[in-house]
Amino acid sequence: MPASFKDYYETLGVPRDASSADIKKAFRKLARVHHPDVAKDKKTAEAKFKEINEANEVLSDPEKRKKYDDLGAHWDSPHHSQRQSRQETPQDFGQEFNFGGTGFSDFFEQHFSGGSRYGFPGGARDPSSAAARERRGSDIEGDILVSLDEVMHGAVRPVSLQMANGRSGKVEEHSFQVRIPAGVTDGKRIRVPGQGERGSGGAPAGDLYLRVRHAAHPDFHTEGHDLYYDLDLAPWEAVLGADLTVPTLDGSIKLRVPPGSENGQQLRVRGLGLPKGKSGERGDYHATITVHMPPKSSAGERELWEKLRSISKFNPRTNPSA
Amino acid sequence: MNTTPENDSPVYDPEHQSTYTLDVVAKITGVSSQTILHYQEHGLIRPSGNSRVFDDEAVRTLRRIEHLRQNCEANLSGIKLILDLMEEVDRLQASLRSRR
Repeated sequence: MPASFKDYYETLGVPRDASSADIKKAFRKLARVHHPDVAKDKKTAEAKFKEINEANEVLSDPEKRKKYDDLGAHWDSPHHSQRQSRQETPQDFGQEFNFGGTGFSDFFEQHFSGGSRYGFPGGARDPSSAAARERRGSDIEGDILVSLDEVMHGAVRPVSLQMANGRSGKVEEHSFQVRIPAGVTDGKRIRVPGQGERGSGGAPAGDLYLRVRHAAHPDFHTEGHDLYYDLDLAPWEAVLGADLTVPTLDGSIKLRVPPGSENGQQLRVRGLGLPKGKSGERGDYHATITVHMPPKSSAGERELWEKLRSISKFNPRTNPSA
Repeated sequence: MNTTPENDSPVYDPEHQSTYTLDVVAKITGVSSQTILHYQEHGLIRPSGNSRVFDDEAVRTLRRIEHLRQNCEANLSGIKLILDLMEEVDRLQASLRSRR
């Protein structure tokens, strides 16, 4: 079931030699436009947002990007299908599988997903043995892309799993829905009992494990139940303090930046992170400060910097705390 | 098993933190209670709070252990090393993802 090639560079609108900073910038820009929370046509925006997220998932990871570039260079070659990661060797008599509804395209699923299959007993390689006649199906693992909105409120996602039997070549498709619990953390596996590989000889089927991947958000990233926002400040805002409006998943809030704030300092707002299960408790929101220098100074600004230089005793090399 | 109004395929509704007693885990995985306790004693699987209650992650780890034991012929110390390394890879990947 070979999937068609996806041009992730085109999706993000960046050249093939774009730096990782350019990719990050392009992703953020597009994700802001097509984020389902912002766009008018939510259905189209959601599909586009997933496409952008998938492209970012591959191009922002140096290892995946290298693999993708290599795949692209050999895509027209008749041997490219040999590079597919999840095809089992024929002697395993296992089943090839392919997910649908996980938020990733077939192309991504075939080449970049963390999908794997395990639990095939060694003794079953001889199909005439008793172990092969009665054998529990293998467990199957795959990734599911979940937006932060789905993490906040929970969701029900339709998922399908196509499996081709290695011996008979017959393709079976199971369709089901999985409830994504509110507050599910990145990396958490959701076990779907009995939706793995079919067992043989009356033995039970294996389980399906869906590993949750939080979709990249243009403004936030997550760690456990905590939400992080990059807060960009001008030097005078960091020095003098400021009252700023910042986005959260609950809407905008006013955040007081204290005078003398430092680069890398985190301002914490309790309880505005992701929910922790059904308890009503929530993680925290952290705004991480990055102080940016103005790109160029006008004559008036330059004069003020010069004045500051003449009166300040601060020297970051000899007396950083002065 | 429930369905939703717009889709009549079954809905799997995992508990946020499903836990199982030792007997239930033995039944789900086909690994004897005694063997599970042996793995626990060697630090291969961790109980969820109470010493004889396990979660879905422990069920998955048990299946992995059986896979490594039967297919890769790994012994207990080999399995422990592999599981620790897999956990470390997971942790580092998560940390890398959140920094990108």
